[in-house]
Amino acid sequence: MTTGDAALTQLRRGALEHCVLALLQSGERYGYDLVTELSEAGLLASEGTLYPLLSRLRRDELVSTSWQESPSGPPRRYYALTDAGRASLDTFRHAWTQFAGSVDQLLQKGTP
Amino acid sequence: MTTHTDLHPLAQDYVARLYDAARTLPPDQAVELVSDISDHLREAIPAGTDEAGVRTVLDRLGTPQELVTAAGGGAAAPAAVAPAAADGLGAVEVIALVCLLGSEFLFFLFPFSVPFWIAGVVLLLVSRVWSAGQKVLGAAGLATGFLVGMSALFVSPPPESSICVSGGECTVTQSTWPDSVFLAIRVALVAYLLFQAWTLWRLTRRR
Repeated sequence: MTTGDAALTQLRRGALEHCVLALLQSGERYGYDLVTELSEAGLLASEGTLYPLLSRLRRDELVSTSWQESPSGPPRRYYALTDAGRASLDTFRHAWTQFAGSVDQLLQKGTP
Repeated sequence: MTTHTDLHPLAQDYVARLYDAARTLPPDQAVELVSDISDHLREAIPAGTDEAGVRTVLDRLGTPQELVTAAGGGAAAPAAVAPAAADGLGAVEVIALVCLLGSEFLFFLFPFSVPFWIAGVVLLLVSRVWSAGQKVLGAAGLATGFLVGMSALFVSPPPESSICVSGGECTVTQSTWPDSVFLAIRVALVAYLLFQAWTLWRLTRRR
């Protein structure tokens, strides 16, 4: 693994939790649906690791869960953003914007 | 949550391995993880998916151990192997062997051999490296050494005896056992020493 790959892994790990919260802003989603979207966005190295993360978000009360019937197959566990989750997302969005701006500036400085 | 017997056999096998790896998690988290992954597999593998498709889904999930690690669990120790066995012998085991062998070879020096033998037996039993089977072997093969040495002090040949025949002539028999008994004792002693060497090898070799 190059240092660039390692940095990307660390960034992905740090940002993933808030990307999940961001996906839930527009409404509740079920686990497989979240996995598919995050995987397509290149944010999940191992799809299964999202479930322990969802479980932790629920224990931290950043998301709430409910079971709903599925049009095809068994009931699905849906995840929804809580007020605490929304506040955490707002804080992260602010911090991320500053962080990304600072990194961008430094990267630009280095180019000839 | 539903049972996972409706899953593809490969997916069932994956869930079984996950269930096994999740033993290091708190029970409620383990149940939740297995349930979530079973539901995911049910969504991701519709009926009629070929084996290549199933394998692709499983590869993308990550290994069961990766998921358990992501959930905060450690690697499960295989049940049959003592946890520290791979690291070789620790101080407790080395001292136990030195005490047991020392008490055997210097059994006649009681102030030395008796406390060493007791210490050796205790350390043998409390070791966290040796398995229960190895402890039984150590007790049979090494802890008996001191006792075998002691027995040499108390077992002696039959006393001298004299046989007198009619006519007043007496023959004094030597204070010894017949050759056959001596041979049997020597064979038993060699066999016992070989057993001790084998025991020592079993207790000290790395797995």
